[in-house]
Amino acid sequence: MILELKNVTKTFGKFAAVSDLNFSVNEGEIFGIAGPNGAGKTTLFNIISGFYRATGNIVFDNRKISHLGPDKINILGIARTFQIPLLFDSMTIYQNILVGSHFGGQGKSEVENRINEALSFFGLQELRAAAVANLKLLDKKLTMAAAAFATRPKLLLLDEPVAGLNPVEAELFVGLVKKLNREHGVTIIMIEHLMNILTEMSDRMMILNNGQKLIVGSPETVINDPETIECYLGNSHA
Amino acid sequence: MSLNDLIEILISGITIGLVYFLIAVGFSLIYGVSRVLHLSYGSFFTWGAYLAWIFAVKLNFNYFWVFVLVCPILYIMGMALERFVVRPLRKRDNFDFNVLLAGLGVALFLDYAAQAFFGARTKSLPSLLDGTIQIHDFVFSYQQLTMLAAAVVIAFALWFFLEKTRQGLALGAVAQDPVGARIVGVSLNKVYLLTFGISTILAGSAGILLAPRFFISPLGGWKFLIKALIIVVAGGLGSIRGTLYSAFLLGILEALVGWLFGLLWVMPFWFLALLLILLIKPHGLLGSTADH
Amino acid sequence: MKINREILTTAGILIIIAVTPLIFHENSYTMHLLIMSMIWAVAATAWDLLLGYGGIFNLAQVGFFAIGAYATGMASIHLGISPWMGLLLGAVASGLAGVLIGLPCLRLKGIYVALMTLAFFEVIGPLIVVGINLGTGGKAGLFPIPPFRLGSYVFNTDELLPWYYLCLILLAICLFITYKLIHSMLGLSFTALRDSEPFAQSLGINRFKSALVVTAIAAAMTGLIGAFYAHYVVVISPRMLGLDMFLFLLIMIIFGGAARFPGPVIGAFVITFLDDMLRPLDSYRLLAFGALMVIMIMLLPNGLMGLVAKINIPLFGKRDTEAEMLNPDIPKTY
Ligand SMILES: Nc1ncnc2c1ncn2[C@@H]1O[C@H](COP(=O)(O)OP(=O)(O)OP(=O)(O)O)[C@@H](O)[C@H]1O
Ligand SMILES: [Mg+2]
Repeated sequence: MILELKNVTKTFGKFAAVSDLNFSVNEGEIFGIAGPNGAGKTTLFNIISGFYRATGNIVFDNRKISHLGPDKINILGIARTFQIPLLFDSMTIYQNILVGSHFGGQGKSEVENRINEALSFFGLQELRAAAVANLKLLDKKLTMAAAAFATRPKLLLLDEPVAGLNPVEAELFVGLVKKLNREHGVTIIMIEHLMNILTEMSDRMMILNNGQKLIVGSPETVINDPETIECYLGNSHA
Repeated sequence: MSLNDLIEILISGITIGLVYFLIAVGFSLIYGVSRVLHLSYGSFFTWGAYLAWIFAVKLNFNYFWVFVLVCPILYIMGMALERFVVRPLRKRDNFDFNVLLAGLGVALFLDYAAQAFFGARTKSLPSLLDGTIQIHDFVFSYQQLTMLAAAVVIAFALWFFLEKTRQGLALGAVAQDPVGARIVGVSLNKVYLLTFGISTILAGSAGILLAPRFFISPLGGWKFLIKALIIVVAGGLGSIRGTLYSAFLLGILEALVGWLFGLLWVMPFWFLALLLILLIKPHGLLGSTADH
Repeated sequence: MKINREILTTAGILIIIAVTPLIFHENSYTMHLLIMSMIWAVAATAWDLLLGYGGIFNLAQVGFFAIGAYATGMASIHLGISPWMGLLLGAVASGLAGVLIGLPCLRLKGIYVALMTLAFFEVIGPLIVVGINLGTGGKAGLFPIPPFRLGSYVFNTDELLPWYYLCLILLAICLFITYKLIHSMLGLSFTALRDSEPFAQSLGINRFKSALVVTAIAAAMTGLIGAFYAHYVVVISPRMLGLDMFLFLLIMIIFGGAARFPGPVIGAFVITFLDDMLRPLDSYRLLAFGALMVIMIMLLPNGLMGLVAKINIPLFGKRDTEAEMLNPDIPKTY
């Protein structure tokens, strides 16, 4: 078990975006999260990565992290991407990754190695000197993931990494995520709307609705669960 | 400090607080709705007073007509600022930074335009009403009372507008969630225009109401801008109720500090109070966490 | 250090400043304006480090200038320390003040920093006035602040050349520090925070630490030049905390180009001389500056240096991309 959440609740005013959530993620797995719009998925990532303070307890790698800020949490080994691509727009791809490599993670040595590894893993070697402001969406998403990877995370949170990509690009990205998991042993939590992608890659998955956990389990049990079908598959992605 | 002293301090604190509310509320409104830190706000305060001076002193209108004539001018000035300075910047990067500096530029322009037209010497406006009234041991001037009455009327008008009219509700919707408001068909640009217009009227009216007491000078608006800033931040940016509370709180603090140590100490104490409030509640008294 | 546009421009500016007295040393008024330009250049560059590069809306910079000036002024008048030590003291006092203000303010975000620092700035004046018993000189000001001495030579108002070159040395030091800082990893961190705070934090950057260090450095540089200013003008008063200097420094930054090192230096010289030329216009002068400020922001958001960067000058090699201009020293390939 690399990550465990106990009774985690986050409210905005009176509205509970995440309420009393309990689940855990095993080391080395790909853990998928799905749920309708506004279910609280991104909020959950913001809580785990330290951007929101929530009530309850979060333990990562046998350490309590619920009280830590985002930078500390990254240094302990959790990296993330954002649903809407965020990058350092005045910099090159190389410099974006340099930030992750230099400031993130624990080993302060090997900065160059980490950058090069990230660049070649995500196929960005050619573009390394390009300014990120004008990149196409796929390259932005790859750069964001590469910078996160350059912090050498044990756990990587991906928020809808393939949203907005065409099927070919999506497949490329999915392939990279699997490879990251298999070859580098990075545990992955991935939010995704498209059920077929999620069931195909996940070892286990969780459905969120109204900030609550509907079900956690293997892809088969989850998609055959009547509640899931009603809440999620029923209306949009059947 | 006797009981009478205390009552006097309290009364004067509440009066000051109400006036400060009037000054700060327009600023708060603009930030709440359009997320613009409006640093030329103080200059409109000054210009309201100067325009009133033209009509009241030069042209001898009474105060009713002064308000009737000055408000539309202020409204147009505010809208022009939104349309020609703020809106073009909104489309570009670094909006926060640019609009802050542009606001300073506009302030500089307006203040020295005032100085060029009206001279550097202070001007004064006649009292709203002359005379005094005594209740128990306390003496009130009619000026003070009309000012209070006007402030209450304006505060209520604003409340009515925001809560009971369609346009006011649109303003609130944009303040809450601009993207959502646009989806349900609110035109953001129209709301921003309206907000700047109304806030400018609020700034200018505050200037007119205070002018009989504080005099008008080209750079006089800055002092009030700074005060408005502190009040609004302490109350929670964008929260009008928060602005009300903190205006009273700081008004009473001002009266108290003024009585105990002298007026020079007011600003240091305000600053300290702000610091304390923000250390305990980083978003101010009633600030929402949704911002940032 | 790789030669690039920023270094060439900076070196060019410093060389021009260094040789200018050959022509103007007889004209003490022009010399005075040049010295003032250099003083503003340091203050504007330091401020730009926060505003332009760091995206930190610290509006208290003029306050740090005053703190530097008062630190050396009070210490050299009341305690008799040497003005040379005073320069150091000014820098240290302001740097400390920067940390003290930064501790509560920088925990806040964006616009709150602007408000808090502006409020703080407004309080310094009254504090100086009420602190008259502590030797601040109160409203009337503090004077006479003793001049520098070098061996038996005493700096004086009849001979501006020594002041001029001393100021040039301080300017050069500050520009060197600024350049190094912008291109260091610390510089990378605060530019990253400016571009996207959440992304920067998610990659391990500590927002508070980074902002605090750059605030302290910018405050220290401003305090240093404030201290020089105090000795140069002999008398200082809370009036320096008025709006004029505050706005002028901002105009210099905008005019030269925010986050376009060494744009604010150019801005400082142009605006100082422009201001002097427009003096006959009286209050229309500031009106014009207000308009200029707005127009610059609307039409030329990257200032003069932004314009220069768009022009292809063969000497400077190929046109720099935004990103290359930002961090030319950080290698693009290993
Ligand atoms: N900072 C905030 N302040 C107030 N409400 C918020 C905030 N962040 C999220 N919410 C609310 O919490 C709910 C969950 O939002 P969240 O972004 O986590 O949904 P999501 O599951 O990621 O949806 P999507 O599929 O659209 O990305 C939404 O109703 C949203 O409006
Ligand atoms: Mg989401």
